[in-house]
Amino acid sequence: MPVRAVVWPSFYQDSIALMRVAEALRALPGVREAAALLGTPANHALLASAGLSTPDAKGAAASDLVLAVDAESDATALAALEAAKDLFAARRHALETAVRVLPRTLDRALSHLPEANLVAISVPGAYAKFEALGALRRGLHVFLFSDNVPLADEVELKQLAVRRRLLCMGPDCGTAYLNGVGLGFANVVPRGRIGCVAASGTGLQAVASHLAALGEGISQGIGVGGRDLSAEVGGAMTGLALEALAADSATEVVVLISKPAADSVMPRLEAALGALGKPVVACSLGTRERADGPVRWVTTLEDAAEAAVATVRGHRWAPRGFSDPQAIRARLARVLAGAQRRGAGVLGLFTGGTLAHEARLLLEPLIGPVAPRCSTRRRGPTACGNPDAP
Amino acid sequence: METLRAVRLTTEAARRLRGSRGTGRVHSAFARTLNVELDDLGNAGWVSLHGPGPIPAPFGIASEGWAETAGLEGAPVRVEATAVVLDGRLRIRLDGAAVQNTALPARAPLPPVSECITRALAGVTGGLLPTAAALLAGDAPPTDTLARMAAPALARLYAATSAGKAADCVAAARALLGLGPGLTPAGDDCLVGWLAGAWTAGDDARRLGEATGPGLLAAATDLTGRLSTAFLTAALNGEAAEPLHGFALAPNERSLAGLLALGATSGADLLAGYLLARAALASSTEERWRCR
Repeated sequence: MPVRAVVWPSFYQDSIALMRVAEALRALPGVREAAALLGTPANHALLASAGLSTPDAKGAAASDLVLAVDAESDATALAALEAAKDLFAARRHALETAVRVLPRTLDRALSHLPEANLVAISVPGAYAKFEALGALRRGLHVFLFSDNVPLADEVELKQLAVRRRLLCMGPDCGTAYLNGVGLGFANVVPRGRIGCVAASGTGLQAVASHLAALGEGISQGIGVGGRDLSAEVGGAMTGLALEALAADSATEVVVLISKPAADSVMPRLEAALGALGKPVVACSLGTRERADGPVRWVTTLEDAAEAAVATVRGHRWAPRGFSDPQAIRARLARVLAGAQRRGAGVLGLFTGGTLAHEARLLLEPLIGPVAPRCSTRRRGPTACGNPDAP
Repeated sequence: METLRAVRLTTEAARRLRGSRGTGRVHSAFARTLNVELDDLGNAGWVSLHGPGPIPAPFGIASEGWAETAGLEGAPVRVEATAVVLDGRLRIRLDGAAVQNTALPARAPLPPVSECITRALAGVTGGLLPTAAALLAGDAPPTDTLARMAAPALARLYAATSAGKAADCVAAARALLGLGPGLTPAGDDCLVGWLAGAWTAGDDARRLGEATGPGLLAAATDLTGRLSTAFLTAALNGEAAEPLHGFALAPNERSLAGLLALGATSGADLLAGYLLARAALASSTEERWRCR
């Protein structure tokens, strides 16, 4: 049994490194046993008891590291000892990379991760443009979590992004899924064949979760920011995101989730969707009913998910009515009849502008006007939400 | 020069920095830890710098991040009023860092020994916990080489602790010092835990632990590394790593998980020694019942 050992004087490694390297050496072909221990008297006895002691190892002091290998051949043992050097170095590098922290600047971060191609930015809105411009100028996609970014800044950023063919997701972009990596508040959902373009967060989260519940997954989920389809921004990032999904081999069906586009943007959006070359489900909350052409238009997030699943599976699909209008009216009448106190009403609390907006669109035909924001002075049935919330 | 901001440090680390003459050197540098020896303070002159998270040494400082540490071994260290400077390369800012008291109390609640062991063994392989667990349960110890060497020493330590015989405790400890894998070998971690257990089990128990001090440290100087000796020295003064301190104060599922997360098997070995001491020192019928 060839047993070989080396002593590395005053070679300090943390305990986990010592154990992991010993485990890795044991897993090498032809290695029967391996140990990485400090050369204390007790460990010399331990090595001897395990048949791993050698004349070389016996000279190690308590501050020295003993690496000992029992292998099928001398060559295998020596190769294993040589491999240990690389294993220690690789582990150290991996840990330093993993915990390398808190880079103060983008350049500093890039010096540690030069292969990065996307930057997540979460700084106060007033400073977001500076950081995002820096990223775009370096050829990096941007996930802009920051809110309160001035509209003019957004326009400038996205114009640059389009010129450079880079994604600038946001601002106020709460979530995205890119090649299986969730950014921001991403739900844990399966990867799949349905690609989404959405405003900023909760709409995408809701559809992704519905898809997962229906047994499908997300290929890519790109957030473009709640103002992207405004007249000022002109759908710059929506257009680029749709192009990206059209070219993405993992994406079979595309879902667009948005509030209504500005009148000046809508024709271009419809043209882009129609020319995508892949089936499209468009959920444009609050848009008037449209006849299905190359694009299937739906009015709720749940319908968007179900229509996408039916499309990708080649099944027929028809929209479902939301709940039971008569039952809702009857229940509302009971609530109002019992609401004697001043200010009584129905309060809806939402953690997402898209969800609040969708609920409002569903409720108003049934119960009349719904206040979009909380007001303690308002009487009558009230659904509250912040349409601008992420 | 790169700067890191310390966010927390133990009372013992703060005391050592205040009491130092302002110089030292880096003993060892790992991916997430730097061990520093302050000049002229001997075994009580160690300070360790760590990344974010629980402070894994009784003389530790946790920073908000981490930095490149390769090549810092042996580098000179300068202690300033509000910073520790390493070789002019790295400045650890101490201003604003919260001081965390990790001094063990004179009496801490007795943990549910068997429940803790059962939970711990579910996620631990290696080290001395399986051997200590078998001893406490009256079962045969594991048969691996480490267990075969450790089992008689642990049994002797348990008996000596129960009998309150400091000299026998030292004799048993000699067989554990420097034994096993790890930068601080498993046997050393176990003894640190044992000292913590003795410290927190009441006045008589603490005096037993203290009585082992001179013999234990003299043996440690010969039988194990200097870092281990530093941990033993701190334990003899009732200072603990934050996860062990947390477990001693409130032995529950969460603090147990925090303790077990320490190192490869260091947390489990600390637990083994701590429970062994507490079980051996259980005095009342009720306490002994909790150790079953």
